[in-house]
Amino acid sequence: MGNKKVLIIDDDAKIRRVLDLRLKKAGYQVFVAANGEAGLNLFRAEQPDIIITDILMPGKEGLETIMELRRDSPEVKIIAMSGGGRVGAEEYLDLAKKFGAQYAFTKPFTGKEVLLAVRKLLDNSPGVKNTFG
Amino acid sequence: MKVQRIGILLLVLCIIGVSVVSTALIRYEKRTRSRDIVNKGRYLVTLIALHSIKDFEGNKRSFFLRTLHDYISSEGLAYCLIHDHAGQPFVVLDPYKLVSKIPQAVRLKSLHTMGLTDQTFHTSNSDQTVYEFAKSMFENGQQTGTVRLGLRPPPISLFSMERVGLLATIAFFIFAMVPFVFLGIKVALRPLKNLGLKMENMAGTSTPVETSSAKGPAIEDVIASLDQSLGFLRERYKRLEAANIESHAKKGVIAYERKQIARILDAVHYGIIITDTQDHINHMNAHMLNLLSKERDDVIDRPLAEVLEHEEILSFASGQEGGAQKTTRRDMETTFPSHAPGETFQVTLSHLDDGDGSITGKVICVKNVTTQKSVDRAKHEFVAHVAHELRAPLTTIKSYNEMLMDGEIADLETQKEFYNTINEETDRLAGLIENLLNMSKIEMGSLTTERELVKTDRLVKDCVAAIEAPAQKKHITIEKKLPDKWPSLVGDKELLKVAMINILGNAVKYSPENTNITLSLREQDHTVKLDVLDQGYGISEEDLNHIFDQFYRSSDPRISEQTGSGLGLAMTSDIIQLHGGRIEVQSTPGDGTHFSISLPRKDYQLGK
Repeated sequence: MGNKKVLIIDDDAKIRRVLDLRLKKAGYQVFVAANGEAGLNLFRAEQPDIIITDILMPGKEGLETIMELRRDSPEVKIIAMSGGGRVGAEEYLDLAKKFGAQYAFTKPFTGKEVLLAVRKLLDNSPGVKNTFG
Repeated sequence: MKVQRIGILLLVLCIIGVSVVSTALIRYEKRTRSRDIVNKGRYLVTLIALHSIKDFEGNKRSFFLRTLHDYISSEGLAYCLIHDHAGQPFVVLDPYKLVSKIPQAVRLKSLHTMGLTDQTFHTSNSDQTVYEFAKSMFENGQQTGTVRLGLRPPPISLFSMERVGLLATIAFFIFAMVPFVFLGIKVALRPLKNLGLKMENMAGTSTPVETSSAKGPAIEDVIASLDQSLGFLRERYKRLEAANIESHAKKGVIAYERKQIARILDAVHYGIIITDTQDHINHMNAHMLNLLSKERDDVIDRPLAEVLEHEEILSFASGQEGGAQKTTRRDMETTFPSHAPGETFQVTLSHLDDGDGSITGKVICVKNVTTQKSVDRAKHEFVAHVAHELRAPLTTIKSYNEMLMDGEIADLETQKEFYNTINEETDRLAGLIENLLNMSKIEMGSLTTERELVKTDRLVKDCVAAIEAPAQKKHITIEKKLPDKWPSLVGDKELLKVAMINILGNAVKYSPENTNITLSLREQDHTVKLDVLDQGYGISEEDLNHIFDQFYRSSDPRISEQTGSGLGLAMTSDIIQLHGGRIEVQSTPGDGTHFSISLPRKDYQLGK
């Protein structure tokens, strides 16, 4: 499990920091990026097993990033997270799921919830459910 | 009376008729006599001229003259002259002394014309017509003389004995006509017999009119009855006229009220169509006519389907007619792409009833809800943004706290960092709530904002104090260019402080370390001008267009990395506008930004 690579893409440094710490403590190899463009570059360089990405980000935003990730690597696991924006968080995450995210979190969530989702996805265990149903 | 008058009239007409007939007869008689005289004259003169002139000499002359006198006098002989070949008269028979009155022209023509001549002339002192006949006398081929004969037409009299028969016939016919005419008048007047009663019945009176004598209704009775009836009719007419005036007045009031209702409907800011049960348009207000680009005369009494040409509304208006839905008010949303592109309309259908539950028509209201939809959307977006802004710090607080609680953070340094982050995010939440409350206050405008004297020295001091700590942290120097005499403002001190701290705070937040911020305040033309110049990252042209939009965050990572709600500048702009001021911004990426605020200088006056 320690070899599994996780890429975190979020423009909020504090979220990146806490998820980074939480996942590292859990034994994952973690890479962080502050926007979609940097995230895609890291993805191509490191080929992570799972990507945790925010949906609303300046520059290349989450949905666009998910579409590109899916195009480059149809098998990669994706967790989307959002606190909403111009429209509600649920609408964004619903779109994210349609675009190929396996898991979607509505803020406020905790690092532990994300960690559990990461574990479930990487263990490929069935019955994974997202937090909003 | 009337009958007498009619009788006189008939008599006059008879006399005129007789006169006309008599005149015609006399004229005819004159023409006949004239023709007879000419024939007779020609005959007589020719007869005399056949004689030799010698036949009139000596004794023969007296015989001739006597014969002529005795025989021809009754034929209207006026005179007889026989001239010799030299033109000298040698036989003159002139019982009426007319010869001297014969015009010269007549005499000359008679004497010097060969053959037979006939002429007429009027004697100079009377209107009597005289016919002169002349013929030359010949003997052995030589003219021996001239015979001139004057004849007078006998006087013509209408009542001569020879016309007794004719006159008797005329008189007979006249007298025969009188009874017929009288009977005719009687028959003609017979309908008048019952007219009086009929008129009374019309007038509504039951008083019988004495119309009859033993001989039947007299015309006077009928006239009296007519007069009475006319009186009743006049009264009834007056009553009807009064009722008509009242009805007219009522119609006027109704017409005025209708116009008023139409004006009220026209003043409404949405379209209204009123139809009857057959879906024919009874009324369409000005707003609806304008929306459909139609004239009122083109739509009234026409079928709704012909005028509206909007399938969606037509099926909405006519589709569900059954049962309970008849009285149910229904709404739908639609568009009028050809008339109002890009705008949304709410169509409401209501039914009119006569008070007893019978449907008498429909009312279709068409309201432009584009703005309302836009406001609703903006409100929804605002709430979504606020939720987003609240969720982000909450996620951080929850996650950091969870790590600490789970004992995942062992080293004290990281623990401290985590506690600090939790503290900052809590402040961020508190700041956000404060901002939301301020925005609510601004939106309510003057209802909730204070109007107090704001001394600018105090305002500037408080604002600088609020940003001094973060500025020092980044080694940013704040240069102040302040006046000796401080102007004052009137407004909400707390809101003005929020606005200025936002500008100064942004200058600190988005400037690199070891730079300068210049703050200047001055009074110019009754305006307080506050300028903040920094040496920060600057704002791109694209960002400048949205810098005062709510929740707008720059995509520049140096800016987006910083904590911010996207409400600060939007709120600042609103505060300045609320105080009647203006905010402007100039920026060059890499060089810095210059915010300039102008506020009207006001001295506080008691009672205001």
